[in-house]
Amino acid sequence: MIRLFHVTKRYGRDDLALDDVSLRVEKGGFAFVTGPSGAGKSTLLKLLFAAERPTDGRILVAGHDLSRLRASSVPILRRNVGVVFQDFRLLLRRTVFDNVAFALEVLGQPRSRIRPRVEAVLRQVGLGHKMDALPLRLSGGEQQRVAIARALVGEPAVLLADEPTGNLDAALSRDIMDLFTDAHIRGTTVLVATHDAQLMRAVGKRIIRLERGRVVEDDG
Amino acid sequence: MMHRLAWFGAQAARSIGASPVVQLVAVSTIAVALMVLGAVGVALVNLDGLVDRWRADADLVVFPRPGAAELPALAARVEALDGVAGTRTLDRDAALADLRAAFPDDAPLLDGLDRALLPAVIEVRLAERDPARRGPARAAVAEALRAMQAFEAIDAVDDGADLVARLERLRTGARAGGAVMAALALLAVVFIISNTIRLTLFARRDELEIMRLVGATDLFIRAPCYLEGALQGAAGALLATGGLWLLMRAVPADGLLDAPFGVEGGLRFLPPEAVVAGVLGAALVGVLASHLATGRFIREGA
Repeated sequence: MIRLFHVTKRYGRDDLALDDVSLRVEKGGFAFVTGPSGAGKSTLLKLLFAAERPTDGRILVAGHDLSRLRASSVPILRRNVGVVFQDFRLLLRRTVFDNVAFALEVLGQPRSRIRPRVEAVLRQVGLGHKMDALPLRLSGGEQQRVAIARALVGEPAVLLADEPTGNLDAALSRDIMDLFTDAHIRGTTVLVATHDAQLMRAVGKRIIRLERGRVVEDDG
Repeated sequence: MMHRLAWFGAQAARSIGASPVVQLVAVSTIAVALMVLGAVGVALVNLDGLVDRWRADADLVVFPRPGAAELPALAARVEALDGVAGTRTLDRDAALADLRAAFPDDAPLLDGLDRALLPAVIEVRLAERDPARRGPARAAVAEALRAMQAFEAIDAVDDGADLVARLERLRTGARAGGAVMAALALLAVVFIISNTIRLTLFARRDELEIMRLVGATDLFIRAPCYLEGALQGAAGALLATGGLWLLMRAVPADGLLDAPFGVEGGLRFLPPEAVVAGVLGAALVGVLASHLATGRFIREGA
């Protein structure tokens, strides 16, 4: 599902973000990417949803060869890749329902199909009772649930999360991680970038450790 | 398909509603630019009318030799020529009456005018017309001139070529100037709309980032902006048309614009087909401007 072959990402001449990284996450797999700040975790995720292009090497995600992906094909890739960020990135003037529905509206889906799907996914993340609330009325954990619902509503094959619990306390972090585990159980390939060692131990999944842009440990 | 169009429309409406003052300023500025363009159009339409009218009054003006013949008899001989459709004789009294009618405010001046200064003339209208020139066929004019040279009673014949040539040059110059002004006005419209759209895109950047993140195509990002640009252009054109029409109604057209230099009934407004073409054209320019603005945004955000 996700494969990297000798991937290097360099910003400018001297800034080496990823250095000859090769790894593989099978379909339906779950892995954490960890490491200190500046290790290349976020860069790795950006490469996986084509927000950046590799300087060298080859990347395969959900059947797409990202090294050869044309700009016009990026939207097609992203319909198969859900992304969750630390800062939630919600539309603050839209309700919880509208935030999630927006992800389907922009794909041209009819309203009749959007409503039941959005209601189902919001119930799945435990926000069935807050569909009409505005994001700023929600707690940080709830806002992250909305972001996860938005990432999952299109039923992506791959779910990427960049420090999804960075702004949350331990209890909320665990709740959020349960949602990722649920998605994994339903067959989604999940890759979570985090430096929360306690959380990774609690979930007990594969850990890929990056340091200075290189994979230094992979227990998968 | 319909739900997509409805979504594009809703997004455009949301975007317009989110910044009504910016939209109002943009549409007003577009309207001013297009009003200038419309004014040039009105000037050209009326210049065309002026040329047509001068051609329609008389194709040729015959000046009889003084005392050579009775005017009606000479007119009858001219009218009998091949290719002549009709004549109108204008003796000194009739010429003075024409002048008085043309310049009613200058009656005291005309009272002192020596009638001998006003020549009697015969206005001649030829039968064969040239649709392209909207006047008499050149061959018919040449033939009539050649035939009249044989008349001893005729002193001179004016085919109006000098005047028409001057008017044609004026019209050509006005058209060239109009084209330059049109280009400048369209550039201004493109500039205004593309900058308004860029402001809109900036205001919606969070939304657009999410759209890209979840796999929206460029069309989904661009289409609401196209609609917004088209609406701005069309609204500006409609406002300009209304403004120009009101302005023309407000300006007193009597005297200044009436005969003999103007078109009877005052200035003519733009024909309806030109107004429709203008509104549609402005909408298209709006789409083009939006395309430029979103293209830059998409390239920067890609």
